[in-house]
Amino acid sequence: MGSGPLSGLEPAAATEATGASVAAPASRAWSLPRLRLPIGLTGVMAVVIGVLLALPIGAFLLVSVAPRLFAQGNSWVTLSAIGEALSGPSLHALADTALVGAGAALLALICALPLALTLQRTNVIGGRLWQFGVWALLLAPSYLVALGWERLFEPDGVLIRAGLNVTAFQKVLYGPIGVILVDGVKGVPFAFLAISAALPGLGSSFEHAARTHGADRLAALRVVVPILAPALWASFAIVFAETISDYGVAATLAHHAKFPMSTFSLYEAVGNEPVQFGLAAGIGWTLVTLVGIALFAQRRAMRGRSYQVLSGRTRPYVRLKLRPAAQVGALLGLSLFFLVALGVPVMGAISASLLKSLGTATHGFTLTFENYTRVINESELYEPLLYSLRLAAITATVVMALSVPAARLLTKRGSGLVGSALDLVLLAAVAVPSIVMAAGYILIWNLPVMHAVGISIYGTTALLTIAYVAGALPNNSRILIGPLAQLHESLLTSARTHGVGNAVAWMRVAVPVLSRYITWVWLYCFSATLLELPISQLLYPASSPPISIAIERRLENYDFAGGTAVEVISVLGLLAVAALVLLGYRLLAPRGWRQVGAAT
Amino acid sequence: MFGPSHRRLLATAAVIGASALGVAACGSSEAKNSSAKQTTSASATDSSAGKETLIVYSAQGYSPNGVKAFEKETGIPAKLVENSTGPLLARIQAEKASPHWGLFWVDGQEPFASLDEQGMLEKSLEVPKLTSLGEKLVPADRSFVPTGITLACAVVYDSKEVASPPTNWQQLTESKYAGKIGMNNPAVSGPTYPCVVGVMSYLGSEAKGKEFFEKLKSNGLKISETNGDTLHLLETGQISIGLIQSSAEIGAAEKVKGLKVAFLPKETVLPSNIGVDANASPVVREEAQKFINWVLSPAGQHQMQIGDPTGDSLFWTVASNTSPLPALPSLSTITTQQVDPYTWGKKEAAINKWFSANIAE
Amino acid sequence: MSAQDGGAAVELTGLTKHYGEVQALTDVSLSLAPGLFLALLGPSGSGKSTLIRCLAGIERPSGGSISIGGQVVADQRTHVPPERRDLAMVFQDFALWPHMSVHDNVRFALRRRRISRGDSHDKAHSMLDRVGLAHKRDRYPHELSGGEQQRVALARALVGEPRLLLFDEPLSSLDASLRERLRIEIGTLVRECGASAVYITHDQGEAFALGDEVGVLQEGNLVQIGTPEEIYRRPAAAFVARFTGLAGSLSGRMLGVEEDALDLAIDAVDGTRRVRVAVPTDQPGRNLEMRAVSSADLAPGAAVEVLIRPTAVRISGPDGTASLVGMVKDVAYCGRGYEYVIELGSGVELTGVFDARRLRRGERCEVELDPQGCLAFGQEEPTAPQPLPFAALPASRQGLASVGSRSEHSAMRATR
Repeated sequence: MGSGPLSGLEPAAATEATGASVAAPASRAWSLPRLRLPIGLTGVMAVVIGVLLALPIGAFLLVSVAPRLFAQGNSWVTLSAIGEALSGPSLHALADTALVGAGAALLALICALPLALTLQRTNVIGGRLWQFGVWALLLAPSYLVALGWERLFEPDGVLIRAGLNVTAFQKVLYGPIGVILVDGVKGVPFAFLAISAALPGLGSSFEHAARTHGADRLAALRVVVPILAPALWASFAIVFAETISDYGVAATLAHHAKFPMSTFSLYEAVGNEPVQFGLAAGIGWTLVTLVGIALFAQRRAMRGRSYQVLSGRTRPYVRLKLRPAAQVGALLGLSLFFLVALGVPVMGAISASLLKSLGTATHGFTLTFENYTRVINESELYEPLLYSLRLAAITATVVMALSVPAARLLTKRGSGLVGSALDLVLLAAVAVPSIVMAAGYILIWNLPVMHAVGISIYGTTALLTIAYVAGALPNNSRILIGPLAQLHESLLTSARTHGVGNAVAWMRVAVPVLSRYITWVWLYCFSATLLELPISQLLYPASSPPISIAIERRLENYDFAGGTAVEVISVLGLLAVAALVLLGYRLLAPRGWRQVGAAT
Repeated sequence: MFGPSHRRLLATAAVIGASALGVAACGSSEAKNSSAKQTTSASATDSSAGKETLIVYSAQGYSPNGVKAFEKETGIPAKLVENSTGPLLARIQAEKASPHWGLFWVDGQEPFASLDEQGMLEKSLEVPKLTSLGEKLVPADRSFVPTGITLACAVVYDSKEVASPPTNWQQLTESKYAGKIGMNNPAVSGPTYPCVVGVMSYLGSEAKGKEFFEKLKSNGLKISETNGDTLHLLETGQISIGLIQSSAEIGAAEKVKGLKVAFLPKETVLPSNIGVDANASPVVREEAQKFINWVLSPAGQHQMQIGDPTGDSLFWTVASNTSPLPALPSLSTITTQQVDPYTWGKKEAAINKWFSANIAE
Repeated sequence: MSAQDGGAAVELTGLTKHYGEVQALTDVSLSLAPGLFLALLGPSGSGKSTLIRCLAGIERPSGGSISIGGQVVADQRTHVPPERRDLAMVFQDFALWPHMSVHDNVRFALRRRRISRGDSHDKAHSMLDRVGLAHKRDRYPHELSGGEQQRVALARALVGEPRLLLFDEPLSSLDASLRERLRIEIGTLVRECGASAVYITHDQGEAFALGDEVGVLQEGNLVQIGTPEEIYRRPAAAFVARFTGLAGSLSGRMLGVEEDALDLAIDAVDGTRRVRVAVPTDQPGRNLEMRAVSSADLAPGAAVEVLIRPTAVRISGPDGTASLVGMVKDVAYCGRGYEYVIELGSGVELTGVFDARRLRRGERCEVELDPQGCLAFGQEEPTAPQPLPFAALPASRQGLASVGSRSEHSAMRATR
């Protein structure tokens, strides 16, 4: 299938999400007994998640064992596809994927922990700005990050043309280390959010107790960090799941480095001639199993211990005042991290789009806006861009509304069998690449029986939007788990004891407390949807291509610089919307809303 | 007084309402779209004209132009899903229980042969008058019709690096080209498969072909995903010879100074073809036939030639009424061969897997 | 420094700490002899937490110096980190590391002693035994009750035999009965190990029960430091008196110093003098003259406030010695007897008055005030005194109530 480097343009975000069960332990450990939500909510969300996620993904995975169910083969039951997924190149790719997943998760933890500690527990200069950087990194699609690196460091890339010798680094970048680097850096925001959610529960006295009993600063940190174990494990699982299902890096850097990953094999099986749905579904199973193993390891590590902090009277942490030397050190560290995480890919993407075609055999190093003026003057740019902007806005709004109750369910204890099942489905949704879901959508919604009962929504904008929502929901729900865990039950019960109903209590108490995060969920979902490719490829309505298809077609037609320019324009449009939304929040949200969480 | 259960209901209703609003919003935007244009469902009928919308699945760079012009000139409502061949095939495959597409228009014969064998293509299509080479490309059951010809793997080279291009296949394994040649992975790039099996067929057997590619590999062959990627390597000096589809090469040579195209003996032809959904309604099948006739008419050929002037438009015509664009050398100066899509199509998965595992890695 | 020499002397000189504009500690100086137990008493916001955190090294003072065991640990140039101050601390929220077992929590504090693994194991075990938790050594903190958790915290603090122990309101998150038991344990164990201790609390009972010395903090100032008896008998300021327990207060004007020679001799011992105070009643010109003690030199006519300790109030029999008449407003049975709230009228009340006899609510009673427990303080900004109802004077005294004399009027004028 697709072929351009963008072909799988799966803004890392698109679908993958670590389910609840992954992040939940962290939140559970710190939170007080849960708020009571409508009992009916579980049922309602079960239906929503069942229809949006379980049905299509389940359908596609079923193809590997029972292809005939969906007219995909002659056997009713077979294990050959799964066998194939567990042998030869697929097995090799699976091993690579597991390695990269673990490496990236570890790297993300190593970066996110000091990042969270520095931003939340010291008075480092520019704290807000750095936090903004973390969100920006979350919004950046993984393939863009990978391509940015490649454009700078590839043989005869921007840096080499500028006369720098980077061949030594090139060797490292084009290999497992480079793949782990890019995936790990992309995972940092997820780990950062999970750790940040746990930090407020970790008051200052644990550290002070260690200090007063003879531990120096470092030893005290060694005492305190394990208290964060649930959050650290959750972060690990999140980034692991994100990484193994990410296509953006697998299709670009990893592929160019001849480092096969499972998602790439899966896309190859779905999107190349001949189409092999069975094999793809088999690989889907292996990915689900990998995440299952990660989850199992997490449960094992946590078993028999409790990290519950009994006292609610924990003294709030007073930010450490850094001495000038430490301040400089922290700033240097932060600058270095963001240079690597954001600076390099942004530089790469922008410089490549400005080069007078990475692309002339003249090998010149001339910067020009020609590519921009060319694509801006093309009228085909606007219709897809506006269409995508509209769909992204609708998707983000729906996801915003659904992710709060979904996150609520994920943090809720004892929601019984239905709850555990939802947990599992959301986990599976993380582990399988979004093209699996998209194909599942066709399988389910294009079944003759659907047409027979009058549901003919395949090939419409409506189904595309629903699929976008399904793709973004698991991930975004997870982002809200942390903040939701901090919402103490007393806040809601006190509202209710003062005479307002549950729904009103939620609207008046929970929504304001979560508003900042909900706003970011909207933005994250918006940006991920705007440039979403795999779902778009399989579900876009005839004659209404979204912008990602327009970009992909451009790259497919050998217009690299033009394609990159359209991408940069789309990202600029995205940033403009983000700025508008943030400004709107600042202007419109009541002052009190903005206060909440501002300090954390 | 509202009981607690009622309030619960309200709370859930609020959530559902919010999501429903979203879906409704996109539904209504959809409605606007449809009223302005057409409904997107293949089976939906055009109330005013009693016609059905012809849904075209195409990977051809000129298809947006073509579909628009067809609709305008014939009054038959037509819509386009434009994508690479792979995702289009995935859609078709997933839709198998209830096909949504009406007409399929891509490069290469193997995808059609495969669909034909699954009984998914309408047979006995009416074939307009073609050139003699064109006639040879029509399968016996007339389940698809060629609309133009490209070559699966001609040579594109950087004339500043390579003084004289190779003139036969064996030269490519010589040490002077070590590390300088690039091509695509057939597992990723559809048009590369005919190239690979063309070499096998030319050398006499699959085994000899594999041996040849292994030699190329040990001579430093660089494998990319797509034509664009291989051209990128060429343009950035990472290779100096590319073996890719002729239309991409000629387009690149048009755009980039210093790039030139050359042809090796027995170039494998890679025609673009149209096939029709066997399960479509009679109305749609009739419309699809009209589409074929129109594409092979001078009007249709003109749209194909202006739609993607530095890419897919650079094809040799099979319609006897139109000459190729001037950028194309005369086909008579090039020796060509055909590979049987029904024979080689069955081996596609196995050969691609072999290539990925042994040549691409 | 080694733990074997027992407690360390603690010396604070001019200790100051501010957070931006907020002054948390102002020029606090004190010294604590080795092995003594200092209880610092103050309401929330008085700076006691800041002080103990400066001592621990968790906070860095803005000015002044701290020395522990003769070594300067904090001044303008020095800041010895907590781990090198040879101290241990018990926290209000226990701060037991949730991922470590009880045993590991306790043993952690032995790290700096650099003793063998086996020894540290044994020491931790015997320490746990002393707090009665040896059988729960493998539990995790969340599996213990609040009292048990605080015992573990205590064991952790004591096991390393530090020379200084710090307690940050360790009992405030426990319930009342547990609080008393643990308080006794803390007192006993700390004195057994011979370390110096600084203990902060807002509960005067705790402070008096534990402290060899008690310091009282008000708005960042150390108002007074002394033995519990000194603090109780001769509070240096009205604030101290109030914070260490009152039955009630009356406002009035200074009449003069008591001329009784015998009394003078007694008072000279603790530096207070006996004074006479006129408390106005709601009948114009009629004052109650009462005796009190004062440590300040108050001029006749000065506005004063007489703060009455609960121990100074005695419900008298009908023998004519009564100072005031009131009515039982509330009675609370407290085991040994009853605690009364006695209303004198017009909202003037005496609370916490103990008597072994049972009186009924609404019953009339006469009370006697012990001048030694009536503490007169000058009012910095005299306000119109709350007059005492004339009816609260016993019949025997109503006739004696002084009629404002010309001289007093002029004195009052003079003080204006």
